[in-house]
Amino acid sequence: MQQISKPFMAEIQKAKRNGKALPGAADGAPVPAALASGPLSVDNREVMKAIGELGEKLDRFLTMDAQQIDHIQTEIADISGRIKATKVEMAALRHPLAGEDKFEQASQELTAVVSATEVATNTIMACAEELEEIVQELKSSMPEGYQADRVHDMTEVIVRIYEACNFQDLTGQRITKVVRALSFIEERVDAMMGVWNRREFEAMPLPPSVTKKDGDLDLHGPAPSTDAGNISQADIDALFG
Amino acid sequence: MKILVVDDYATMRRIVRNLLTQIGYTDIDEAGDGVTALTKLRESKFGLVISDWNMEPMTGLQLLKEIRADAKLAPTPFIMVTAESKTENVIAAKQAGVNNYIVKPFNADTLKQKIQSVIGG
Repeated sequence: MQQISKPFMAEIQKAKRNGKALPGAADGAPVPAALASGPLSVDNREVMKAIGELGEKLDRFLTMDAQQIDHIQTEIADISGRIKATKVEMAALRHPLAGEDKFEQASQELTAVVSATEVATNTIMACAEELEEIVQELKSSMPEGYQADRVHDMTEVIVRIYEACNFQDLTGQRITKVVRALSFIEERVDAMMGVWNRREFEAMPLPPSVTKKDGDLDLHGPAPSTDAGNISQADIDALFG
Repeated sequence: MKILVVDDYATMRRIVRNLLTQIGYTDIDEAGDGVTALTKLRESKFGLVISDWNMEPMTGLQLLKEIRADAKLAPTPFIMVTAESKTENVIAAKQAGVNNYIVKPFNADTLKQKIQSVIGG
């Protein structure tokens, strides 16, 4: 146990305010009765222990903190890298300076598929209807027998053609769903890009074109002759004189 | 018996019309949407309505409900011919008073069978 015989500062000040002096004081003023009776004994073990614990905590905190800061820095660098990579991917999807809009292109292609299949289906139906008329004519002009039976079989085949034409409505509906899904993804990409500064994306590398290449030539595949840069068969024929 | 075929796809109306003709029904009229169908139903008597579901501005289900809510039209048999095959859709159509339900794609036999089960014969 550590004991001190000198009074604390608060007691000295209190004694001064009261116009009294403490033992050991320079002015030799009288000592308060409570202090004069003997040396002051104070148990400061709790305080010393708390100070010791605080010191340990501080040491531990300083050590841990440095490790954590390193870890956080690494994490931030990683997140930053991922954000940058994500931005590059977003720019690849919808670069502000890209000449071709992949979403719009895809939607247009799918819409063209629906239109083309509708035209084809109607042509098939018209042909089947014409066949049916011919079959009816034949049936009415033929005597019963093998050939009349075969003509009747043709009617059943025509029915199967009609049934098969169901596909057009279903593919049309399925493709319309895909077009809607594309439109939804496009909106989400736009929204994600809106979260960031759009101009940032302009500085990013342009995405590679999805157009198939043959040497220096782009191969675009089917496109309406009304599209810019396309010419009709008649124009091609004219070129070949 | 006069049949009204309702579908927003002209090609589909054509398919249904041709199949109906093949199975023996020749008195057929068409409507491209629910509103037109309702107008035609109020103007003329039909023995059966064969309707698609997914149409604008009035869907097949709305058309069915309008028919069932109209005292004069309510008894008209109604067959839904649609790509919608979710259980809840079929149940909703049944609750609305549909007489039968055909999921696309379908064939002439299915159509014939459903028509017969609805109108008898």
